Amino acid sequence: MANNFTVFIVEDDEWYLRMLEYHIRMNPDNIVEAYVNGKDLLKNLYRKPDLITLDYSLGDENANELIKKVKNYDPDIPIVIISGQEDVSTAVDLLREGVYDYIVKDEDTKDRIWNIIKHLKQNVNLKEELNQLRQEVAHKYDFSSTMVGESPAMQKVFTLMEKAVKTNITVSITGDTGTGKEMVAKGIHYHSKRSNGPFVAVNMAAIPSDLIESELFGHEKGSFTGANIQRIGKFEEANKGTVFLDEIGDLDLNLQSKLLRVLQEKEVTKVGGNKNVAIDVRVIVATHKDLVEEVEHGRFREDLFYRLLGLPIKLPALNKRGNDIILLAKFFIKEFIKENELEEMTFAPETASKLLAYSYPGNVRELKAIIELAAVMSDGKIIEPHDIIFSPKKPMANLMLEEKALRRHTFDILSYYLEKYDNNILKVAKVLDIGKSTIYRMLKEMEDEAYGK
Amino acid sequence: MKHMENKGLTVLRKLCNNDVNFMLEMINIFLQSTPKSILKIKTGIRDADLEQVGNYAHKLKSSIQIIGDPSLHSLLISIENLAKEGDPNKQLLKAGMELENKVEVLYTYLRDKLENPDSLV
Repeated sequence: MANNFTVFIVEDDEWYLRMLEYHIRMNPDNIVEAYVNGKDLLKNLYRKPDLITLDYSLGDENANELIKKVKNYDPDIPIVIISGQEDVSTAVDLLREGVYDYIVKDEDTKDRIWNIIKHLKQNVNLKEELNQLRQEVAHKYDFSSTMVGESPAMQKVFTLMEKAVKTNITVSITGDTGTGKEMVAKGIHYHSKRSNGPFVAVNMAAIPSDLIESELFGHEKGSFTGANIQRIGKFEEANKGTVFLDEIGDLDLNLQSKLLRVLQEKEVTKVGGNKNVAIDVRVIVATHKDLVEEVEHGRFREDLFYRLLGLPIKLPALNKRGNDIILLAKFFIKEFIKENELEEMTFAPETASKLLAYSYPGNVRELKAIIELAAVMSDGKIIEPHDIIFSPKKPMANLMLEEKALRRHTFDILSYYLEKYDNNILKVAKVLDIGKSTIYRMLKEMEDEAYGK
Repeated sequence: MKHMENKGLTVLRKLCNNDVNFMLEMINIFLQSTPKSILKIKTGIRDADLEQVGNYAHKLKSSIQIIGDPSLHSLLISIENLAKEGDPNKQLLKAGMELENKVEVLYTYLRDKLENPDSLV
């Protein structure tokens, strides 16, 4: 948080200059530099004051010219005009030119200056916080530190991402659920020239179809029941930044044509409105659907498909990424330990084998959940195979994809049906056509195995 | 004089946060710096340089408002306005003389405060 706050006072009335200096210096965090003319002020702008107070009647100098010169040098330096008289039209003109405030020299000047400094300090702190958060976010989506993977498929993804950040080309990301489509979209945004602009993600599948248009393009007040206020849409919100349209394959045909128009015209019209608003937005789309197939079946407009195709990036399923599973597992455990201030943990060699043998229908997202649960379940510094608990809700078909001993298959099948029938032993025995005592025996064996007995 | 004391130094005292040393410093700066402005107004009236008269009246009125009495502040506003309007009724000469007299009263009062700082406590 910023403490020191530098104020440049520009005032040619010695008496008033001293009065202002005294008031501003009452807070020892404030540093004051006094100038009696604009020339000296301009020479010292490189020292980046947090505020300039400028006497509007500065000898023979034209205060408006001086304001322009300061704004040309750095438009972010706030200028407060201190004037000997109340002149509303001058004040309004100056505020339009970008001065921060206009105050009159009277007995309330001190309180007004203090209030201005108080607000500016809050703004400075917020700006610093914002910059810090931006840096953190950029680091969070740094390809090299967070998008882990050495497999050829992921190396290809990284190469395409590097190409994507150089231009504003539309990027279409495909991949199964949990492969990290939004992570890739964010990675591209935060490494592109638009990184200082917003990243706005919209999941088409998560918004009711009758609300999507308003969500994307905004609405005017009273345009439909419940539209009590005017609201901007995600496209306007993402102006100068990136909009990420996830599950684009779920967008209905009517809205597809509206989206196409927005992409072509680079402007949006709010629901219930007739004014076009220009937008400057980069578009990244993602879907788990095969859009070619959707086009063939008439569920997705061909013209929109080609408009959105841009640079296609296909994310591989985790079970196709070989040793990336271990690299990701190590990455996730490291992150989890850091976040929860735990002691260092490593994987037993058997654990790594177990992780590699699994099919991960939920992809990277599922692996992350498995690793975090393992870190919680582990009793020591080494994560053992029994700490790795795969989701019991996985489809039966996935159970068969893993290469493992018949005995393990048997356990997994039993776990699957126990989960399915809420641990109703009688029901499971009937479905599997085995005796209840066999189930109890198998459960005991599973427990013994899990605890290495 | 009593009237001026109540209004004038009350505002100065408030702005100086009751800091007598700072009040004395401000009185001292006022006594050192304002005679130049008064002189500029006087010579401006004499030479019919109305821009100079207006500019110095404008400058002076802010400190006079805090340290002087309201009638002196009003007089400076009148002088500034007359100068801006081109002094159509030739009132500036009279206003300038009135300013000189009133300021001299103020200076005497302030010098007395400097010589007797205890009166400010």
